[in-house]
Amino acid sequence: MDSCLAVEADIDKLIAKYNKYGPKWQFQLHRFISTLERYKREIESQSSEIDKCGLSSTILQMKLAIKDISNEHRRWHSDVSRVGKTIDKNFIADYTEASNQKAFKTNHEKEILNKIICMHLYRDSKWEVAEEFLKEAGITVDDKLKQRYLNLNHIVDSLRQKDPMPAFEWVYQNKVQLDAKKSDLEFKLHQIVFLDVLNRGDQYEAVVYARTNFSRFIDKQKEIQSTMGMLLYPPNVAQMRTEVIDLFIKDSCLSDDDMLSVCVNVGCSALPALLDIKHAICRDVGGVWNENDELPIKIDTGFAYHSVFACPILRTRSGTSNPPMMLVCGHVISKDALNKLERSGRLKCPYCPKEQLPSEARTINF
Amino acid sequence: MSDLKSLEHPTLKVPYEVLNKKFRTTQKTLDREVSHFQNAVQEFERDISSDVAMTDTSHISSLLSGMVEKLKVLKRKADEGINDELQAGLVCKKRLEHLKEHNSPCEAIVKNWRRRRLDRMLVEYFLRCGYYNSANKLANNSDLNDLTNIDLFMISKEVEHSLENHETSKCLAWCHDNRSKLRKLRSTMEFNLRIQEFVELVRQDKRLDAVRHARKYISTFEDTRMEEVQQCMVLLAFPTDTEISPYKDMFDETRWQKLIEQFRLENYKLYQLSSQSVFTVVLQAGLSALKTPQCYSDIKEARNISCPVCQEWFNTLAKPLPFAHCSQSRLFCSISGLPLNEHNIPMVLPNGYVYGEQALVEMSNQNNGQVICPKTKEVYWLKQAEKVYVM
Repeated sequence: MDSCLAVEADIDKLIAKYNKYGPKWQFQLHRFISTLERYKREIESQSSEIDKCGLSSTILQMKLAIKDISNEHRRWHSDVSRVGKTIDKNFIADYTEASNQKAFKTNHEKEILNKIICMHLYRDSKWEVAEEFLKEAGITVDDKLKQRYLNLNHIVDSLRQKDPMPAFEWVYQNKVQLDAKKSDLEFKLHQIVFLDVLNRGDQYEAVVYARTNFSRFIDKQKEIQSTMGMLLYPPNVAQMRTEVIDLFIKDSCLSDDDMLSVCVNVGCSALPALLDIKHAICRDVGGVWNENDELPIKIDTGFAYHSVFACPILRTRSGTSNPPMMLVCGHVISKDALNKLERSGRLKCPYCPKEQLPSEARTINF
Repeated sequence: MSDLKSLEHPTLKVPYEVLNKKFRTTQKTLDREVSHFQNAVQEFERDISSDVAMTDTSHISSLLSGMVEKLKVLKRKADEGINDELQAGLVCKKRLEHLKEHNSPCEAIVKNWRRRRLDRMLVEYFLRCGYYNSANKLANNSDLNDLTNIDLFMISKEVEHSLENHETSKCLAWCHDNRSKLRKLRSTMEFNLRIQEFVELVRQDKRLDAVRHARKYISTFEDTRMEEVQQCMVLLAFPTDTEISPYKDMFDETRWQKLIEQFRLENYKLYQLSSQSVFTVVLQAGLSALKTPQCYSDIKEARNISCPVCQEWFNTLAKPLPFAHCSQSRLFCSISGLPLNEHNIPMVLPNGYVYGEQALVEMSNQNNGQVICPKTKEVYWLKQAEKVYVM
């Protein structure tokens, strides 16, 4: 944030100069032109004696003033280049340092990446872009998949046009899956219809709609309360519509989040830390990415899809060759640690006084 | 270090370079127009000091109208120049405004900002891959024309296109446009283009023209690239279907493709763009940060349908990338998705699978005290589950 502000201060200074001097020079030049034209008319009409001295000194003044224009502009050079320097100082030019230059370079990988992007575009209801992209990138996707997205797209478009019918239809067709997910979609759709009726100014009809449709959602007391409260406090319907559309997109696709967005957002938060560590430790060592089979630091992704067991003794992640082992006392350490702690066929738990045979430990799975 | 700081350099630097270029052009124009005016003034001063001229009013009047013309040109050019610079500055400003939204306290704005960031990255990725129409459509669709460096790439599209058609003029014009900067970068672009022109002349068997061409354009490179110049001149003596390397390579048509690649790289350098797109770099980092051994587990149940890296396509992409770092356990109950901790104690079933106490108790309540392991479908009594202590 500070970096933005620093650059902004410099650019503002420069823009102020343009705004100040641009019109000033135009005015000045305009005045000079009309002065000269006046002189010219006077001379041509020969109504009076030419004021030779006056003319000469006026022109001398102009000469200096105009020289000043190009000089002033030249002085801005330092302001311009300061913007560049501030950008360089506050932003990192080379973000590729912590990445593998060879990644995603094979044709196969490129194709997969492009397919992922295409699906993302479909999902984001950017149908036209996706079609163009398919053409340009020369990839094909499964027609069934495409049809599915086309259908979903139609529903989203209708929702935007305030037509919820296709969406309701879809909800009824997929009721079982939606109920299993405990989805709010149906209620939210009713809610937005209610608000649309309300916004048309027909309060009575809105209440009737609420009575016919909301009573089924017994478990949504709180939401119904706040919805009915909207009779008093009109909400931002446009924003709620976007939320409903997002919810629909989310519920209608296989997974909870748009995978590409998840990866990219995680990457955006991970990259600064990776660059930092790269600067700190491996300036001359090769890529952080190639040789180790693990990133050098922990990245807090905000997403946790898998349980990870890290051995509390060795501080390493367990894997198939080094699984977590539960001792008879219930404490868990990794197999490698267990082997290291074994003393002449006996093993003492590192956390409690209990002793046991190494063979008594059990492999467990999280 | 924030993500803005590490990712948005090109977002600001490219419009800055445009501004800088505009500034230089304006300065040159102003200097030229000012000196034109000064010359007119000098002429006037010289003539006015001699009395003869003073009597001739038509002469003075024509001198004056000459000056007025010069001033009018100056006025127009100054207006255009300053306006160009101002516009370039405003582009920077607009992008800064956009970047600042990143720190908005409102969650919806940040969410939307992130979505647009992904769109921006995709536009850039498309441009780098040469998918220009897609890039244009996406930029229009998401209103990103001012926030992405699409103009820059559109210029390079033209040059690349002309190189594909074996024309050098556009690329040479580009070299000329950016001469001083290319010299600083020690670019060999122009040299290579000239060599290619020479090769083409030889290929058409216009060897005399080729010599003339070489004298005119290539001889200036003698101090730095003597060896290549010599090699190139040898071509005159060889037939175009020679099998001797390196001369065979010089007649190779793929040299045009290399020129395109070189042009792309040098164009990136000119605007300090990295050789890789932000999108791929960030995606790599993201995949790595999410990659766990479970994503590659042979047991299907270990995979998580919500985890990107567990999906087929992402899984393939992430294969050569490193795993996430982990020095502390982070455990979840795979039934409920809740974290395993003192409030939801991990319990191990006799088959070795660990679940959260809450989920197991709930399951046993619905199942007359029995639990079914979701992974192996084995049935146990709840009391068979033992507490697990993870430090």
